Amino acid sequence: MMFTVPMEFLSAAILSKDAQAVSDELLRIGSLDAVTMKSVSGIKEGSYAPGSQAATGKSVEISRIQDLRRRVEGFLTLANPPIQPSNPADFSSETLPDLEVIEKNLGSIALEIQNLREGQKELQDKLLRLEELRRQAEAQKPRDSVTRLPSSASSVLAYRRGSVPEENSSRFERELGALAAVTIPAQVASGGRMSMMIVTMKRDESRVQALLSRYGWKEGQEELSPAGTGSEALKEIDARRQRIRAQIEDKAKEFDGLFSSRGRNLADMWASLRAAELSMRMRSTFVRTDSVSLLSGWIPAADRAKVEEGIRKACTGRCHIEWLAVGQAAPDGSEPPVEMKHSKALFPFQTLVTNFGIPRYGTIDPTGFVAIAYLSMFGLMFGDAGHGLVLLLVGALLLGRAKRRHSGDTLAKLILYCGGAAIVAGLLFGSFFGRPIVPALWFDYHGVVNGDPRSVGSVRNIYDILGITIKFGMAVLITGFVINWVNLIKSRRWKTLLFDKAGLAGGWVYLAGAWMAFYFVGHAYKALPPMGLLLPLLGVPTILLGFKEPIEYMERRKRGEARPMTIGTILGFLMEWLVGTLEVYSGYLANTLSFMRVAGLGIAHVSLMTAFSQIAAMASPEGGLSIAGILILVLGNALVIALEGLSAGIQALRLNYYEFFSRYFNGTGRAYKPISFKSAE
Amino acid sequence: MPCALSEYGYISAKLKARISTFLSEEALEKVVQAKSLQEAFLPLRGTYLQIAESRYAATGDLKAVEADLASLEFEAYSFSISQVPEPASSFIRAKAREAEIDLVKGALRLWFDAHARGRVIDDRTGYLYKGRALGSVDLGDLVNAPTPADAAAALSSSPYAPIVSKLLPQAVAAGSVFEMESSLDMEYFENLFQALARLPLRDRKVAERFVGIDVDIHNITNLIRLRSFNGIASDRTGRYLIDFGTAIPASTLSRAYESDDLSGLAAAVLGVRGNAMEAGWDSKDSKARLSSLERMLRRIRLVEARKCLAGYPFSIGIVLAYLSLLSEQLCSVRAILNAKYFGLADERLRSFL
Repeated sequence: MMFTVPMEFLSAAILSKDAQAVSDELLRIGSLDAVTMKSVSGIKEGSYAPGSQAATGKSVEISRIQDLRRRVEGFLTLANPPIQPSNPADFSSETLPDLEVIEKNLGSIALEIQNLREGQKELQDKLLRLEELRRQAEAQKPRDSVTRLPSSASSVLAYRRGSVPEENSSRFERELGALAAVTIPAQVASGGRMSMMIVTMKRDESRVQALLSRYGWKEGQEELSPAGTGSEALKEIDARRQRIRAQIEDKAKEFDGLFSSRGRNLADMWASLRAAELSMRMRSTFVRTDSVSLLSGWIPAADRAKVEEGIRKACTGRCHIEWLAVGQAAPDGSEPPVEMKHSKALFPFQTLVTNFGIPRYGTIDPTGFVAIAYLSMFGLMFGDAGHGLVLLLVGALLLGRAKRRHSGDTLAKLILYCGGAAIVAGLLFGSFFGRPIVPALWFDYHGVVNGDPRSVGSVRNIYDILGITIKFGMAVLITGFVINWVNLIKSRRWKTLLFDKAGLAGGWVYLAGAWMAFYFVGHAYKALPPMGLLLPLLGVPTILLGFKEPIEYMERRKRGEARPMTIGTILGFLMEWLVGTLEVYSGYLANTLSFMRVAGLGIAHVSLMTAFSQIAAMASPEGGLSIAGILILVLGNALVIALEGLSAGIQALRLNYYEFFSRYFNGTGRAYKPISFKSAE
Repeated sequence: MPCALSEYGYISAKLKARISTFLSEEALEKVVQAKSLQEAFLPLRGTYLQIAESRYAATGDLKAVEADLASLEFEAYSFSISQVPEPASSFIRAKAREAEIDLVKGALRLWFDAHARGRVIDDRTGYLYKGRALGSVDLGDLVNAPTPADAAAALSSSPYAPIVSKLLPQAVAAGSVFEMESSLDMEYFENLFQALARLPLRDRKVAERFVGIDVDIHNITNLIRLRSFNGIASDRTGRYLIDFGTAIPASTLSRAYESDDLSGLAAAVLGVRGNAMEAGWDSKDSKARLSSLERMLRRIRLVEARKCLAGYPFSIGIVLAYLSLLSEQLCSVRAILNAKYFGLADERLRSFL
């Protein structure tokens, strides 16, 4: 759509008892950008306070519902993969969900998670203790076999072999397990005693001694073999570590299991809270008398019939509906909100526009123009089919990842488009990873920059490339002027259209100046157009620019908003005109020359690739490409793709924002935000 | 000859970019408002503290998370040291020793618990710092050292060995590590002041403001600890306090401590604002008041850091501001997570932040 979507203002009077049904229907349709008309006479203001559930007689803070909904959202994202919430439209918003029950449910989930985490922590503690034992056993292993016994004085570990009564063995092992210790029991018990080897930290000696005496430990007679005990202990520690790791994995599965069993419940909980929250938000915009409610807001003109039918159906015809046609101000004086409707494919460029500002209602939607200008600029700066292919792949990968994660994909799509633009430009310039593998369809950019063009055509040197980008910039700026003129005609701002610097007078100056500049260049920088032509071409529009201030003053004077005219006022007009004229001449020249950066970055791209090619050739003295040469080319290409890609992206954005938008863009609009079951926030 | 722009241009831009990734007030508030510990980790997802969330999910272990947060601070110091020129680099290195000393003190306390008090420390040794910040010092060896002499030997490659060698046996005899820890702190500050004196004038002026606040915080913290030890006579407090030009004179602190005149102390710290704060103090408990004072000083340090960020960008101020903001944020996150673990009420928690 060329212009922003036309809006109509809806006012509907319904019976208060139908308010819930109407609210639900409006949420389902999802078209109403609600306006609360507090100033309408005859309506009891504040009888329906925002955020309250007056209809059900309960006073529930919407913030509590929001908090709970966000809390549920947190749990949904904890699951692996995250749980997709149910659709709020499937849940009745008529009956408020029992918040106490939901809070209790969430509390119990939180408790279950906490218990699981505690279990994980216990295992982690055990693992850490074993890790420490292992580290110490490992550290002394090489020394043991040569010089000392493992239980020598300098070791921090104490090794013991002995036995405890069989009935005490399991309790003994359990209590010892609370320390950094490991027990290696013998396979069989003999004489009612269980033989084992124990490894403990010497720092725990007093505790260990207490346990030994409590459980009837009897020291073994056999000699401890240094190498044997060390490796035996390590083997046991490793086995235990493995067992604990398996237990930790089980805990992770238990965690996932918790969500797979509670997932549906959580998804529904979220949806019911969301439905209640949206319903309360919608109804908080209604104002009402004792029995009648009034709702109002902006709706896209195309949805008018659907919305009217929906309201009538919801209140079985017991309503009165009024529509204000496009162009009429809303009763509360609010401007219509702005929606830009175009192909989904253009969404990344719409984001570029809205990042700068929301266009004014009723003006031209600049998204399509921005898409063309941005991609053309990017292609001219980053014209290489190979590099474009890499961007395309990166974009596709990011897009795939975004889809898997259900996250935003705007940047991925933008990179994808930029890749496409670079491929097209690369084919036009015959460049593939900086190599002339494909014939240039337009001109050989590398050849021109390096002074050796393979293509035959009008573009022979760097000045020709600069000329192309200046002409491109002029085309962009003139498009900006035309868009502005159309916007001004549509909004009937005739004076601005005629006398503003971005109006017809400004455009006249720009076109005349451009013609003059080409004339000057065309005459080898030696001749200007004849004076007889200069005066009407530049003099008339320059004088016209001076009319704007006096005309505006006269209008203000008529309305009694300006003081009587004095010499100072006239001098003020003169100064405004002089400064304005200077601004127009210098500003337009700067705006146009600013597009030379497009050539600058394109030339830098080619120069860098040429430099890397030459370095690679120098690294391959025997001809062909050596491994070092290939490496240099790969790294060089990666560097150019990263740095130049970023620079070209930023510069294209800058040219759009500061050169193109400054001609026509008025970012004073308000975005259209209907309350809907599909609303993100 | 290198100029301030070439010396600090890159690090200034880099650190400002890093600061922009710090948690906003709103995000921190979400952590505070979380209803459980697990939920408190959710706002950290996708932020520079993502590591904390991942660690907790993998281990359920808050101490392991704290160890990761401490590593972040060490990394920040290492990065800053590698990016600033001399003598600023030496100054940051001297400042980094504060965190280093904290690690050593932690390990010494563990040693003391295990060997002097006969307590089991096996559940705490797993979190001992194992990074490269301490050079070849292995804190595990220190903790497992059988005697004080062995403990000092484990620190032999660090500047802390002489102090530990001299004071650890005394600590064992006295049953308190306070003296030894104070001496380590004194050593840190002496080293810091020497590095400070070597800074060029512009850097020195900026750094002095931060050091002054650090000294104040250290003195106040020590006074809080002294309050906890009723046995320490007020005439001995001076030994544990540090006198530094821009901070509150140690003598003022000592006098305030002796006379219990904390309003005078607050006034000294905060100027006229001190009296306003005094009026707002509910607690009559002097320890609680000192804690409020410490929190106030920490806030002053944040204000100082923000002033530095808004001011001249090519000085050591940006680095100190970054380190202060990071340290404060990590401290807040640690406090909040622990409060959630222990089920502290939101209001109580806020009073600590």
